[in-house]
Amino acid sequence: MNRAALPRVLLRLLVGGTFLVAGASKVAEPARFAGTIAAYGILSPFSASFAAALLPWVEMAAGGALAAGRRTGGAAAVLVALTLVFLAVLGHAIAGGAPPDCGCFGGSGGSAWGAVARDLLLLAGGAYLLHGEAAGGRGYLARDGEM
Amino acid sequence: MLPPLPPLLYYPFMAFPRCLKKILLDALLLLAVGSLCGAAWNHRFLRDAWNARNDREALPLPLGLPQVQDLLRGARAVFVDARGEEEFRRGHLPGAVRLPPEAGEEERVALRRRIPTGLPVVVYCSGNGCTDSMKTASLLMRDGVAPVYVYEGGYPEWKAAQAPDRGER
Repeated sequence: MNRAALPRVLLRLLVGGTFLVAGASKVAEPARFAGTIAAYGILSPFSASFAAALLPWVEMAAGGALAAGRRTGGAAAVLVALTLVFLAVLGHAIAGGAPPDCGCFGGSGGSAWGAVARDLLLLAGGAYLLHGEAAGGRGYLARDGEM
Repeated sequence: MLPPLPPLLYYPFMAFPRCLKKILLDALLLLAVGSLCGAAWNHRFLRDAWNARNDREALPLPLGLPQVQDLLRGARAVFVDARGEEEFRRGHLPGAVRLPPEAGEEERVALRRRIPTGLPVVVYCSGNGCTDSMKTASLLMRDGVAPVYVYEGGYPEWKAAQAPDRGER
């Protein structure tokens, strides 16, 4: 592996690995995750169940692909889009007065503001990788199969 | 004549169209793969959710301790204690009202009138293994109350988390 590519690989592993772990932590209990989503008061119970069934797997698919360096651009695009949605939902909850537990890692706790800070970091990392792909990975950013 | 853009501004726009199609196709592929895996893994859960979308006999969704604590802090939910009177008197979640499953329809109607429209109702009892919260929650859902959740950990879990217990003060 090219030594110059190491920071980019580490960034991919960090961002992709975070989503991989986040998705895996929610797979086992879709009903509980559906309750967490529904508690935000944005989706109906059915829509929350639908999101709870699919979202962890999308996180794992995109996070795994990014960590593995496969389809990096598409994976980064999905994760950036997801992070933007998460930030919007957290912002809505915080604006409502009492932010709920984010449920990001299967109900392991953590404040909404902590989740916002983490999401902003993930967004920056994902956007950086996506930008590199969009620019063709010429010179300074990540590309597929660097690992 | 416009001055040339700095490299960091024009470079992505010049390169973007060539890669856009691949990025979009890869993103759609990953979305499809993730969604299909999720749908296949959770097909029973999704089928039950679909069948229950307009069903008042549907089971309430579970809530965990962090969500319950946040709802308590913001006073954004009505908490219903489905345990017996003696247990309720010894301690309960702040602001909780008692409604055991054996309560009559009049008590349920009285409670329903006190619940503002759209405010979530969280029912709990004595923790995992206790079914009274599920029974009371199902009765409330049958009466048209929504959304209704069950706090599965119940009073023992909340008490163990050393949250303030106004009911014992």
